[in-house]
Amino acid sequence: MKKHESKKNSRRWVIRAMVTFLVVLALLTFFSNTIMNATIPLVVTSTATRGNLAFTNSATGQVVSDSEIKVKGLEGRTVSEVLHTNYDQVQAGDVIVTLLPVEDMSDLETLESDLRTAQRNLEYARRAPSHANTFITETQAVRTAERNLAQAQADINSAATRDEAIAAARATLSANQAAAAALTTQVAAATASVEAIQLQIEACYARLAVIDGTAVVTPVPGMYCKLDPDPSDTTPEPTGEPLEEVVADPTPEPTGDPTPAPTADPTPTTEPTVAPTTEPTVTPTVTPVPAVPTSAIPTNNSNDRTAILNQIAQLQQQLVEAQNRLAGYSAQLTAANEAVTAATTAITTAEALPSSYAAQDALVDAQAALDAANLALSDARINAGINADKAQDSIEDYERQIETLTAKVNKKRAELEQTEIVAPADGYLYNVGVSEGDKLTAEGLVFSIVPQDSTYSVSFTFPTTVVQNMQPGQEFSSSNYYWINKIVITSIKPDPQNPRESRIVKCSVSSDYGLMPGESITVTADRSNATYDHVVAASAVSEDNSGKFVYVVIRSSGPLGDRYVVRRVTVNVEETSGAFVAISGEGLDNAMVVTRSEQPLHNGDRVRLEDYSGDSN
Amino acid sequence: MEENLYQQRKDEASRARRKVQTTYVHQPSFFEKMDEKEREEFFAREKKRSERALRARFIRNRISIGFGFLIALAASILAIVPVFYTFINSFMSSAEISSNYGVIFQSLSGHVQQGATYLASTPTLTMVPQRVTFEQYANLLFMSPTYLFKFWNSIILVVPIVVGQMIASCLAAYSFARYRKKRREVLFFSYIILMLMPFQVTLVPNYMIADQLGILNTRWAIILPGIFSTFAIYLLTKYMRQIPIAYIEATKLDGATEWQIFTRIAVPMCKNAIFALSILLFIDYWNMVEQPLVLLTDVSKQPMSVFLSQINEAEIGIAFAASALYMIPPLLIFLWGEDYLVEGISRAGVK
Repeated sequence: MKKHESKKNSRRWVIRAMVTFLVVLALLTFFSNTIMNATIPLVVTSTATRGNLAFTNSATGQVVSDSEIKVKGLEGRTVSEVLHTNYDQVQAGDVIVTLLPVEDMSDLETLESDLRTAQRNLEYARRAPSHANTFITETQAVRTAERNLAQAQADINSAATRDEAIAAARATLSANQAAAAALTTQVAAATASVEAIQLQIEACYARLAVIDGTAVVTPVPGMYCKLDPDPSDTTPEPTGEPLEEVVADPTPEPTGDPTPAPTADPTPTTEPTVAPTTEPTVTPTVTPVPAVPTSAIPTNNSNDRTAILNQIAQLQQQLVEAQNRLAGYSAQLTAANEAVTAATTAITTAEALPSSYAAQDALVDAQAALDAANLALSDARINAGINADKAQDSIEDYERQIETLTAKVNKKRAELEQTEIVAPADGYLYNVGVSEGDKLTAEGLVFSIVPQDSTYSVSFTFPTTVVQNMQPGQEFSSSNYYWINKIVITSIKPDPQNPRESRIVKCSVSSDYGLMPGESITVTADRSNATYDHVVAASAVSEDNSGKFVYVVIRSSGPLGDRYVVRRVTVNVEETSGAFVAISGEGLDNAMVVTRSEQPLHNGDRVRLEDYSGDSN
Repeated sequence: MEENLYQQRKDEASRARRKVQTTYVHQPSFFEKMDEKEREEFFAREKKRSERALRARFIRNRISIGFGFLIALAASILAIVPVFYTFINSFMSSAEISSNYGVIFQSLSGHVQQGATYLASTPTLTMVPQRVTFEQYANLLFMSPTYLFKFWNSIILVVPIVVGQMIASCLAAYSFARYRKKRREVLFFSYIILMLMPFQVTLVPNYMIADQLGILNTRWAIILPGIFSTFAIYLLTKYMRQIPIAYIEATKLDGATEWQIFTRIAVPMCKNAIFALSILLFIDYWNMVEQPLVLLTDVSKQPMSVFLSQINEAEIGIAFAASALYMIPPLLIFLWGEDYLVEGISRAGVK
């Protein structure tokens, strides 16, 4: 039972759905044409067919004055009232436009602020430090570089003989060092001899004093007289050997000066000192004079005394000789040491010198440094000149800026004080381009004054093919305008917009009745006709920013009937004859072109065609 | 051995026929020849065999059911997918439809490349629209009055056919079921022959008759042959013959007239069959294409089915929406009479 009820309800729902569906369908069908007519625009079409088009080569231009005086506006001002209208005859000085007073002075204040800033900048520029420069630093650098270069050149010369100088100095050094060693020994021997002789002399004096009884003999070790026997000596008394032989200098005298003093110059130019040819082979030992022991002193005092005195005299003579030798050896030793010192100094100095390559590099570096210093000096001079020129230019710029700003300030101040614009000359008022409340601009035209005695001209644009039969001086027919006497061609120039296919024909216009600028004049050059492939009604052609175009109706047939969609086709208008135009473009052969539409069309829109089937005609 | 046994039985039979009494010699049966152990072995063996047979039959049944299910599933998918795609694609824009299916029309005659294009790029079947839009429906319902008119053409043609055929077929079927004379049987047989004939065979005679009657290019040229179609008469006749004669005789005894028997007994008892036939006939004539094409040369009178069969490149933008909308009436009819349809068809052949 429940199942039966459910099925019954289900069937009821289906029946309701069926009824609703049919009702909706019926309503839609009833309003279908209405909806379609409201949404799909109705268009009238004509076929683009081949046809003959008769046309006139005419052009229209506007009369312009040749001596028109244009009056421009004042920036930022607002028009209060325009007292005249176009073509009013006005006198010079007549007020044409009155202006509202200016409340906003910010522009003037800005200009004045700019002017003050420019004046301050000018003052600062004039007070700027002088750009005169002596280039001391750069010049000193150049001189230093020159000195370095000279030094480098000297070094390179010294470096050439460096090795030779070192060798010579070393030879001298070695020779003098050996000589110095020998001389040192000799000096020591000589010194010992002197000391020994002195001891003997003192011993002899002591013996003598004993003999004289003025002193007690107290033997002093090492101090003995020849006549005194040495208490420790057990050797027999010498056999009266001459003193000279005993104290004779066993050291042979060198043949020459073994140590010639070295010259101060360590350079090899000085010949090396020749070493002593004779080597001191014998040690200079002082052979003491055989002393006479005190016990052996003869008792004969006078004889002893004489002998001692003689001995003393001999010893003193030997002492003098020994001292002379010591002085000579010392002098030679000193000379040899000086030569060693000089040679050592020469080696040190020579070794301190750079090598040839280093000297060469130093020379190149010095030359480069000199070039750089010279360049720096040159650049410094150039920069100084530029800076000076800049400073001068900035001063001039500031002066010009001040001059300009001053003019602007004055002009602005005058404009702000101005409350009306007057006619600059007598004539007709024309091109009044402002009205009450308009904001004026500096470049915007407020009005023009056309003098009464002005001449007028008109410019017509003709195709190049038409202009071929025209020439300056030729007259256009002015029969359509009774108030015009003549329209004479004054010049023919290419049209800047289309120089290849179009010409601007300028004509002078004269009239006895007075012309007004802005009048439109149409002139006819000639009449002709031609056959074109696609001629359509002039209303079919539209124009927008992309150019001229027509809408072509595309038909598609289907089971639901024919559908019509418009497609935009860009065309070129070849000729026009008022009601008809000759066009060219793609896909225009026997195409249905929309000539009239009840709504604005867009590319791809679906349209309905006007049905002429019911028309009897 | 078997020949002897055969001869022995033959002799016994002839003796029995002659009523000759002889001594019956009991012949042990197959089971009697076996001892207890052999019997148990035999039953065990037979039990295993029967189990194997049952298992094999069970597996065979499962395999056949699974295979049938797969076939039914594939057939269902094949039947549903076009409908599904039609509905999904009806929400695509015209540009997207042209982009996806335009290649089909480019492969048709009249296009330069034809088959080469079709082979080079097959149509794109897209499940999800790039942008869901009701543009097709808007174009169809608000900017194509012709579509609506064709829809009504379908309704105007189909509803009279179904109603008229039901009336005619009920009356004819009652006559064939109630009065079974030899001439009527011959006439019924001729109906069967006509029903078995292909539709195209009768189309030309229909055209000639319609031309003779002067109804060519009118809706009557479609409606009249439809009303007197044979299939419904045959089916209803078979259905009404199942009505027990006792019901009719009882009503006659109660004094009912023939019309009363028809309206009170026959028609109510055939309600299921009538509804089922109505649904089938509606769907059949809702989809008719050939008859309108031949008999209705006026395009404005042709039904929607003709438009759908002639969809071309220019109309493809609204084709899916038109198909989706065109599916609604048969669907509603089916939902309304689903139970009648199943019952009517299932009981038509029951004696």
